[in-house]
Amino acid sequence: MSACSGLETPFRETYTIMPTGTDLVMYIVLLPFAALFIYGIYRRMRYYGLRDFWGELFMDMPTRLGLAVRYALLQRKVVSERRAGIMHTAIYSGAIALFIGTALVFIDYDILRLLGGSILRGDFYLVYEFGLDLMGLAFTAGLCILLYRRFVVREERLRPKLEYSLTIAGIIFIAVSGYVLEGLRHSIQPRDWSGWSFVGNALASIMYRGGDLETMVAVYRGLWWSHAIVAFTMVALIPYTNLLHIFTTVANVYFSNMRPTTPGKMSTPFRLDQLEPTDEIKVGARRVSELNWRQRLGLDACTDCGRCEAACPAYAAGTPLSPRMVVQKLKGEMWNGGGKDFFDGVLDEEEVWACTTCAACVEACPVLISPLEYILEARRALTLEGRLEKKKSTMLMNLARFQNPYGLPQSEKAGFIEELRAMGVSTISEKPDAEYLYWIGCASTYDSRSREIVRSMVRILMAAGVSFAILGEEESCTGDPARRIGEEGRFQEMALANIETFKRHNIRRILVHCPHCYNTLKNEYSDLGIELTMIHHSQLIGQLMREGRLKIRKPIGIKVTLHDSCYLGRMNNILEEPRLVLSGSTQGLVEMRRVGRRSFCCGAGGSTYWYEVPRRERESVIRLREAVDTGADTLAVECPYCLQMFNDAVRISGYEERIKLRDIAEIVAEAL
Amino acid sequence: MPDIVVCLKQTVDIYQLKPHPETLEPQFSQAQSKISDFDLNALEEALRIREKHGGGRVVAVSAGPSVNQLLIREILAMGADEAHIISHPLMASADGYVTAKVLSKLISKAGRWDLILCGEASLDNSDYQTGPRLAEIFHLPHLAYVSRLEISERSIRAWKVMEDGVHVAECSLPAVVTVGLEINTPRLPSLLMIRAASKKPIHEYKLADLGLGEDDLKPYVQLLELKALKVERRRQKLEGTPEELASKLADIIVEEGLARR
Repeated sequence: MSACSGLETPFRETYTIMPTGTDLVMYIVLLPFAALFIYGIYRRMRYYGLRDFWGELFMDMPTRLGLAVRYALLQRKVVSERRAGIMHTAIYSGAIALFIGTALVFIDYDILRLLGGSILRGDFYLVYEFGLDLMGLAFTAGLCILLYRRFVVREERLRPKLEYSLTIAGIIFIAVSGYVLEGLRHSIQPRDWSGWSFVGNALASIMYRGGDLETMVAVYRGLWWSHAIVAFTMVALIPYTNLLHIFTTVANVYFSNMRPTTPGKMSTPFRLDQLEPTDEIKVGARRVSELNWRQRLGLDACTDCGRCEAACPAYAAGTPLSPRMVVQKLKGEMWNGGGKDFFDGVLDEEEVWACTTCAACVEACPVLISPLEYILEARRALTLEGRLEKKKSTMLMNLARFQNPYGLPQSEKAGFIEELRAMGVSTISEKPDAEYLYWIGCASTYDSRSREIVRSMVRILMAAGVSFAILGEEESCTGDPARRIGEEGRFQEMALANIETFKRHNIRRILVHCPHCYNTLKNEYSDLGIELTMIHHSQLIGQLMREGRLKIRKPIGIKVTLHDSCYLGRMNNILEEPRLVLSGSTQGLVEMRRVGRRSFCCGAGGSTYWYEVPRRERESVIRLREAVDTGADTLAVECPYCLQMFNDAVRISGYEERIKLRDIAEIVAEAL
Repeated sequence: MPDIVVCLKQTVDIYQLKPHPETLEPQFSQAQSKISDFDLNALEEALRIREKHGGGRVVAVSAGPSVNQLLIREILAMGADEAHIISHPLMASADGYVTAKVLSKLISKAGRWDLILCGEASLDNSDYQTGPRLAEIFHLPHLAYVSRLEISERSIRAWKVMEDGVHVAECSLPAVVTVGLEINTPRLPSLLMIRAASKKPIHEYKLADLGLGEDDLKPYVQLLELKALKVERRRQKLEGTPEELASKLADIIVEEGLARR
């Protein structure tokens, strides 16, 4: 049964108002635009490295298609922000619908018509007209939000750029002229079914119906051509402008699993133990041409949306770093040929050093770019050449000579080990069958405040009757600060020595309270030949509480808020356990504005703890204010470096009376 | 493109030295050895000159009681092209006179050169002797305490920071220049570069190779005793109002002869 009770079956009228032969002329006009488009795409792919790209394209397809569906098709990360999410979804779905609509016209007119068939007729055609008008409205609404964000409220993170204004103008012109054309068509050729094109019909009713037909036809024809030319131009411009993100983001998402699964794991460019003594290895990159093809593709996927910048603690603290600008500058440099040295006017060294490697940028990026990755590559290149100022080279020298970043001789820890022994702690040599090796970490070995964490933890372990031992004199730095500063060789040297120690004592299960040790031992040592089962102290305490092995006598009367450490929460997804522990051992847990994977770095990650970068403010102070704003009287941390950073922040901002700092273990130990 | 010789000394890391609690003598066995800080500045300066002029050789020379090859490797990793070294137990008691003499023999093995760069003093002995003595041996001009250096075709210009101004001097090449910590920040060779440097040549000599005998290593100056200063706090605690405290403090300052009323 037809939805239309008229005499005629409704159908799509194509070119009926245009002079005969328009279709042919249009295709001829389209050719150069299409050629520009194809050439542009080809050139971009040449930049990425065409050969490698094809080799990788069909590998691991199920996972990658899954990623593409989740993050490209369904825009899972794009929608995580409300205003921007609604805007992009509207424009994105509108554009896809309008593209499909145009494609159907092409199939209907240029293919089926020649074969004597048609799809755009009858009920389907009416639904088609209705659907397109509706999606056109969504598209327009999205563009309105875009204009509002960019030109009315002028969101800080949206960079004004002529290129963007031009592409926006072009798209708006296509949308508006499309509706006006539809309106004119219905004015010139009113049909019984015009009502299904509800927007076009409404426009037609505004226009003068049955007026000067000749003028309307002339206007229609002129507008039709300008609509076509602008549309062709926009298509041709795709590979040369930000519009390219239509393709590059999909590709970047698709290939994103070529990166390690967590930003906490850095790539292993070589194996020190497999190198010939005289092999010359280059690590890192200081030119776009030295990045791999996926990393170059990632640069082109950047839409300049600024979400990474808004999430970046180093940016918030007023350091020279903006992760968005790093990617954008490298992208610009790639478009200029990609042969220029990063530190010859592309990036600033301080920019690279300001990064705390917290990966907030990676978490924020809607299209799975890792700005962090480029920063770390650049650091590796700088460090390989030894271009480091005093504090950085001192830290590395300390690692080389004392096996700890503090530069304190091993003898410094003898006293503390003695103290632990007095508490009843054994070393692994004395107790080789211990269930857990408790890895103490440099911070808690050498820093007196952080030693408190160990004392509390030992009391907890003993109260719960957990069998554990320490390495004692045999423990040294995991190598994390070396790796994060870019000294891959030194990292591997230290890691390999530690792995030897682990193997010697047959160690597989390690308890640790430092998230940096946790991350490196868990995620990075596996590349060097050992799989370790790691457990963070918050996990073990949680487990002991659940099993009833650890009895909380009385929750202590504090109102506590938790600072998620980057290397525990964001990098390793340990978010629930610390909260369970705190809820069970205190009277109330309140949350800060930024929690969980969206937590805000204390400013000590990525070895930034060991040197200074020019800044307006400290990340730790910004974060501490957030903690104080919750009304909590205690800020709980799960990382000795966070503890030290906030310790300073409390003093600097004069909050000594307002808020106390405790590690989770200290709180639990008090509640026993 | 000047060729440069850099003299480097391996010393004990004095920052790690702790005095024996009773004898107050430094416990050398507990401290590691390292390249004397100023000498690394000299090497860094040589490398920067080479980078700026796009060429030239940088040769490292070192003499000591037992020159550690690993540390020499670090020097080569920083960018020196080759090293000439000699180890002899008697070098443990060497003074500036002996060191300069031995180094001059090593330098004559190093081939052609236009400039000798040294640290202005060593980290352990701080005698400020070796550089000037080398200049004397080779009959060359010597510029000391240099904090900035410019080098042109056949001459050098050096800046020295004085108490009340800057002293700028120029001399012809070849010459000897001694530098301080302010002149630059030495680069830190990465582990990969240290490994790669194992391909670079280290020439090791015996005394006889240099035309020297053990008699030549007899120092003019002998070290008689080395002891740490014993500093102890008196742990005096003053109490009272700020006014009382101020007057008590003033009394003590006068008593100790630090000021007069």
